[in-house]
Amino acid sequence: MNINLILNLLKMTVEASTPYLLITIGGVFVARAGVFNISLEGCTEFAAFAGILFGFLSGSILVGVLSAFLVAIALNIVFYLFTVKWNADLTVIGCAVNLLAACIPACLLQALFGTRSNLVATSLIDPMKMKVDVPILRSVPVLNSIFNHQTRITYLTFALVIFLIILMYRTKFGIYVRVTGENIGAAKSVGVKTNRIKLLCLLISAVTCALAGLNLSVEELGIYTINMTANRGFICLSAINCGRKEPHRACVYAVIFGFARALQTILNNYVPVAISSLIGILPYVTIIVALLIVEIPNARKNHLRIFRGA
Amino acid sequence: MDTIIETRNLTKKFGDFTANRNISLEIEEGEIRAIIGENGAGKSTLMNMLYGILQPTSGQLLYRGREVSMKSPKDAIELGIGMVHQHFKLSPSLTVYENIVLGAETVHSHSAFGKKVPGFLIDTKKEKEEIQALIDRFDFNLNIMDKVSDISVGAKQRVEILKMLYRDVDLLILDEPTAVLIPQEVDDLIERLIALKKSGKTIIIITHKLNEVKMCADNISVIRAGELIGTVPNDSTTTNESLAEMMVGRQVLLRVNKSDKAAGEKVRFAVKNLTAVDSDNKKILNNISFEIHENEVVGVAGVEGNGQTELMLALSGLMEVREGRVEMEGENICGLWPDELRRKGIGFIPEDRYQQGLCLDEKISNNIIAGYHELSPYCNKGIMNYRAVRENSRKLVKEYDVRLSADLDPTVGCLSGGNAQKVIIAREFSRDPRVLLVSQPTRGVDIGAIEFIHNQILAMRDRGTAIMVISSDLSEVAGLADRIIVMYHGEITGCFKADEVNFSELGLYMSGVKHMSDQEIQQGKGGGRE
Amino acid sequence: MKGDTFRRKAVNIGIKFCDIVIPLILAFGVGAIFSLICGCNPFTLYGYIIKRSFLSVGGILNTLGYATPIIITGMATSLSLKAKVFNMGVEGQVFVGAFAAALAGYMITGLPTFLHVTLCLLTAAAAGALYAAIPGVLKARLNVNEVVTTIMLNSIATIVTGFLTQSYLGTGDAYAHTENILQTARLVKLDSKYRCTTAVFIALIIWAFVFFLMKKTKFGYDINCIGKQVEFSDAVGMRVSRKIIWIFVIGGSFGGIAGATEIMGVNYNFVNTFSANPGIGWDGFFACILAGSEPIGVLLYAIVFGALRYGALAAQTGLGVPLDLINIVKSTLVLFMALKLFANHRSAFQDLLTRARKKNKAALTAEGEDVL
Repeated sequence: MNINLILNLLKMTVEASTPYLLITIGGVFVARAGVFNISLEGCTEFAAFAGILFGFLSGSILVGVLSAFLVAIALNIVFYLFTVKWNADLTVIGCAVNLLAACIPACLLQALFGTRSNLVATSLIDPMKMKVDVPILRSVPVLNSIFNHQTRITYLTFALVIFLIILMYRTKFGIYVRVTGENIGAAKSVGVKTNRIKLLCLLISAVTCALAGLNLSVEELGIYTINMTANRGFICLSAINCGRKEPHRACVYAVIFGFARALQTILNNYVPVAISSLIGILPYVTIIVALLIVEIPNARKNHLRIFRGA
Repeated sequence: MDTIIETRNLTKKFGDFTANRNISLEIEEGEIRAIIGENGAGKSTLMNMLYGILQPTSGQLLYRGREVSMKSPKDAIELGIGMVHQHFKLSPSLTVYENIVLGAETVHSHSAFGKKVPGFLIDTKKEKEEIQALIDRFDFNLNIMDKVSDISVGAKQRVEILKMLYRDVDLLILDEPTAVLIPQEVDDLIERLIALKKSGKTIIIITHKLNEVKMCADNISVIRAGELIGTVPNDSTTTNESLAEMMVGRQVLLRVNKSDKAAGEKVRFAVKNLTAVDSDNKKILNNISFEIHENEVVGVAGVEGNGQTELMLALSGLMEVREGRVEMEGENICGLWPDELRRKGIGFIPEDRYQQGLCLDEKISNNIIAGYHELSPYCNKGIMNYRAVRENSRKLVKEYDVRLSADLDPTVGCLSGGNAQKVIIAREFSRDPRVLLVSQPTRGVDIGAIEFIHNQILAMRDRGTAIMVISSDLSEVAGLADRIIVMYHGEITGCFKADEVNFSELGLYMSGVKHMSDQEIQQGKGGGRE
Repeated sequence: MKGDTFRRKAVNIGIKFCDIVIPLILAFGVGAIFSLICGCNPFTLYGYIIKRSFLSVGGILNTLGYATPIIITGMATSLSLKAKVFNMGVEGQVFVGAFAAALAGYMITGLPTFLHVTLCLLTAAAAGALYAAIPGVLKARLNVNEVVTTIMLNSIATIVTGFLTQSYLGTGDAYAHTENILQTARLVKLDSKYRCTTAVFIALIIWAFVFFLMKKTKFGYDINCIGKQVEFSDAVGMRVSRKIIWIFVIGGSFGGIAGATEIMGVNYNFVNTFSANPGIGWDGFFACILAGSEPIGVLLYAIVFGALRYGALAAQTGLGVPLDLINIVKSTLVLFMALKLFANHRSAFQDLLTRARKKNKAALTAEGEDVL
C-alpha cells in the first residue's frame, strides 16, 4: 500500500466528512430536542441550490451564500410551524419537504435555463481557488497533506463542532435542549419555553445544513446538479441514531461514513470500470452495518416483549 | 396572620364543562392547608391555576392582597409560588443538583469595560456549593452528584421540594405527595413539612388520604364536583367519616365487605423462584416464590418501583425471565406469550390502564374483545364478525355498568377513569378466568367505581378464581386480600394474613428494615388457608 | 339525541371536506405560481392536464395505465402506515421486483402465456418480499429505525440493479437494459395505442384484497390496534414484532408486483430509469399519506396521481412546462393535507360540537396530570 494513497484517502475523508459533520451536529440538536427531522436532506439540497442559483443570477458569491442561509432558515421555520406549532406528523412533513427539494430546483432550472439537470457557475466560482493554504500547516509533514488546502467551511466545521459540543454540555441552552427532549414536562414546569428551544435547534440545524449545502455546491464544484445531496441527510440521520444523539459520538460516526465515501471515490480509480458503479453501495452498506453493530447489543439487553416503536 | 393567596369566584371551563365553579378560597400565611376531594373533583385544575399552568376562565386571583395574572409557571415562581407535581418533573439523565437548578442556572460572569456581563458557560462549581449549602440547611440528605435515575422515589420528591426552595418560594403546593411513599417516608415528609411551616413557608397539600391530612393540616378545604364545599379547621370535631361524607356527598363505607368464604385448598397458580434482570443486568426480581389457591386473593404490597411492575410484566408474558417457573395447576407456563396465557384462562388487569389496558382511539366494542378477538363468535378462520363484536359490547356495557353519554359506541378516550377501568374489568371478567392478575385496579378511579370494582373482584374470588392484586394503596390490599406479600427491591420480604396485619409493621417490611426468613414466609403462606 | 348525532356527523363531514378542499386550493395555488414562473398561464395548464387525462377514452386509459402501479404501491404502503410503521422502501422493492420479473421474463422459456405471466409476477412478489423483510426484521427484532434503513436499501437496490443491467445481465448496448421479455410474459394492453394493460385488473384485485384484509380480518384488526397503541397491542397478545415483519413482507411483495407490471406491460425490459422521478413507490407513498391509509382514498388519489403524471408528461411536450411542476403541487398538497387544520384545531368550531363529547374530553384533561 502506497503512503501517498493513504494520505490521499485521509485527505478525501476530511473533505467528504465536512458536510456529514455539519448536518450531523446540527441534526443532533434537533433530535435531542425531541424532533425527528428527516428533512435535513431537503434543507441541504435547497441550500446547495440557492447558493449557486442566486450567486449565478447576481454574479456575487456573497449573495449566493446569504441566500442559501436565508432559504434554509425559512424552510426550517416552516417546518417548525407545521410540526411543532401545528402538530402535523413529523415524518410526513419531512417527506414532503424532501420531495419539494427534489422538484423545485428541477422546475426552476427548466424554467430559467432550459435544462433540468444542472447549473454550472464555474464562470463565477473557481473551485480550485476555494481551497485555503494554511501556512502553519506547511511545515508539519503528515498533517499538511491531510488538513492543508481544504475549504474554508471545512475549517469552520471543526470549530463549529467543538463550539456546538460545548453549547450542548456546558450551557443553559444545552441543558434545556436535553431536558426538552427527555422530559418535556420537566422543562415546562420550570418555565423553559420548549417550543422556542425547538425552534432554536431547528435554526441551528438550518445554519449547519446551509453550510453543508454550500460546501457541496459552491465550494467543491461551483456547480449545482439535481439531487446533489445524494442521501447525505439520511446518512447523517443514521449517524445521529448510531451515536445515540450524543454530539461527539454522532460526529465519530459521521467521520466513519465520510471515510466510507472517500474510500468509494478512491476505489473507483482502482477497480475495473465494470464494477465501479457497484462501489456506490459502500457508504450505504457501511451504515447498515454500523446500525447493526450499535443495535444488536441493545436488543440483547432488552428482556421486554413489548415492541418499542419508533 | 395575613392572607397569602386568595381566590375570588375562580371558574375554569373546558368548553362546556366546568372544572371549577366560583371557588373562593383564602389561605393564611404560615399554615398548612389541605385540599381534599375525589379524583376528578377539580383539585388539580385549581392548583394548576394557582401555579400558572392553566388560566382561569373568570374570577380573580390575589397574591398578598394584590391581583395577579399568571401566564406560566415562571410567573408563579417569580411571585413566590412553587409546586411539586404528583408525577415528578425531573430529567432522569441529569444529576440531582442539575435538576434542582434547572431553569435557574448560574453562569460565569465576566467583567468587561468595568461592568459585569453574564458569560456563556455554566458555573458548575458555584452551583454545587449553593446546592450543598441548601441541602445542609434543610437537612435533606441527598448527594448532589447522584443521577436522578438512580435515586429512590422519596429522594426524588426531596429533589422536587428543593427545586422550589432553591427558587425561594413562600408558598409550596404539593400535589398528592404521599401517593408513592411508604408509611415511614410519609412520616418523614410530614415532619419536613411541619419544619418548613415553622421556617415561615405556607404549604398547600392536595390529597385524598384523610389520615395524613389529619396529621399535619391546620385547615382542610373540601372540593366536590368543581365546587368548594367548605373549609373546616383540623380539630377533634373533624373526623375521617365527616370529611369523607363532605367529599362524596353521601355516606361511604370505608371498608369493603368480604364474604367469610374461606380460601380453597388446591394451589391453582404458583410462582417458583422467579428471577429476572433489567437491561443493565441488575436483578429486578429476585427469587420470587408464592402460591395462590382457589378462592383466594393474594395482595402484593410495596412501594412502587420495588419490582411489582416487573412481576406483573413477567407473569403476563411481556418480559423474559432469567430463571424460575410459573405454574398453573401444575403445568409450567413460564415463557408463554400473552395470547397463549389468555388461552390458558388467565385474565389480566394491567397497571398502566391507558398504555397496556386500553386502546384510547379505538371504540369500546373493539376494546372490550381485545385479546379474545380471535375466538368465536367474534372471529372465524381469521375473518372478523363485527356484528357479534358490537352485540357483545352492548351486553357487557350494560352488565358492567359502563356509563356512556349520547354516543353508543364512543372511543375509550372519551370515558372517565372509572368507566375506562370498567371496560377492562368487563373484558377480563366476562371470560370467567381461572386465574386473575390485577395491578393497581383503582388508581385514578372515583369512589363510586372503586366500590364497584372491589365488589367485582371479591365476587370473582367467591366463584373460585385465584387472584393476585398488586396495589400501592395499602388499605386496598388489606381490604381485598386473604394474604399479603410484601415486596422490597425485587424480593419478597414478608408474608402476612390480611386480618392480622398492622400497617406500621408492613411499612418496616416495605422499606426493607425487616425481612422474614424463607421459613417464616412459607409459614405466612400456609396462614391463608387455615 | 338523534338530532345531536346527526349534527355531529354533519360537522365531521364538513371538517373532512374542508381539510381536503382547502389544501387542494392551496397546493394548486402554489403550482400556479410556479406555472407563471415557467411562463405558462396556470388555467391553461390545469385545463390542459384535465383535458388530456380525463376527457377522452384514450386519456382515461393512459391515466389508468399510469395509476396502475401507484394503486399497488399505495396499498403496499397503506398496510405499514396503518400500523404507524414508515415503510419508505417500496421504491426499492419496486426495483427489485421489476428486475426479477424482467429476468424471469426472458430467462424462462417454453411456458404458455398464463403460466409465464403468473410465474413472473410470483418471482417479482417473492423478490420484493425478501427485500422488504430486511428492514422488517431489523425493525422488529433490533428496533433499527425503518425510515433510515428503507431509504438506504432503496439506494442499494437502484445501484445494484443498475450495475447488473450494465454488466452481467445487460445486452451490452450503449444504453443499459436487459433483454426484452418474451411475448408469453407480456401483459396485454387494453388498446394498443394507450398505456393501460390488464395489470389494472391485478391492481384492482390487490386493492380489494388489502381492503378486505384491513376491514374484515383479524390481521386488519391487529394492524389497526398496533397503529393506534403499540404497547396495548402487545399486552393483549398480538405479538407486534411478528406482525411488523408480516406487514413489511406483504407490502414488499406488492411493491415487487407493482414493479413487475411496469416491466411486463409497458417497458418489456429493465432500464434503471423505468420508475421516473419521483418513483412509483414514492407516488404510492404520498397517495397513501394523503388518503390517511384508507383504501378508497388511496384508489382515488392514485388515479389523480396517474392523471397528473400523464398530464404533466403531455404538458411538457404540449406546453413546454417542466414535469416537475406537478410534483411541486403534489408535495405542497402533502404539506397542507398533513396539517389537518380543521380536524386538529376543532376548538375553533366548538360551538358546533355536541356537549357530551367535550365534557368527557375536558374531564379527562382536568384529571390527567399532563395538562402542561
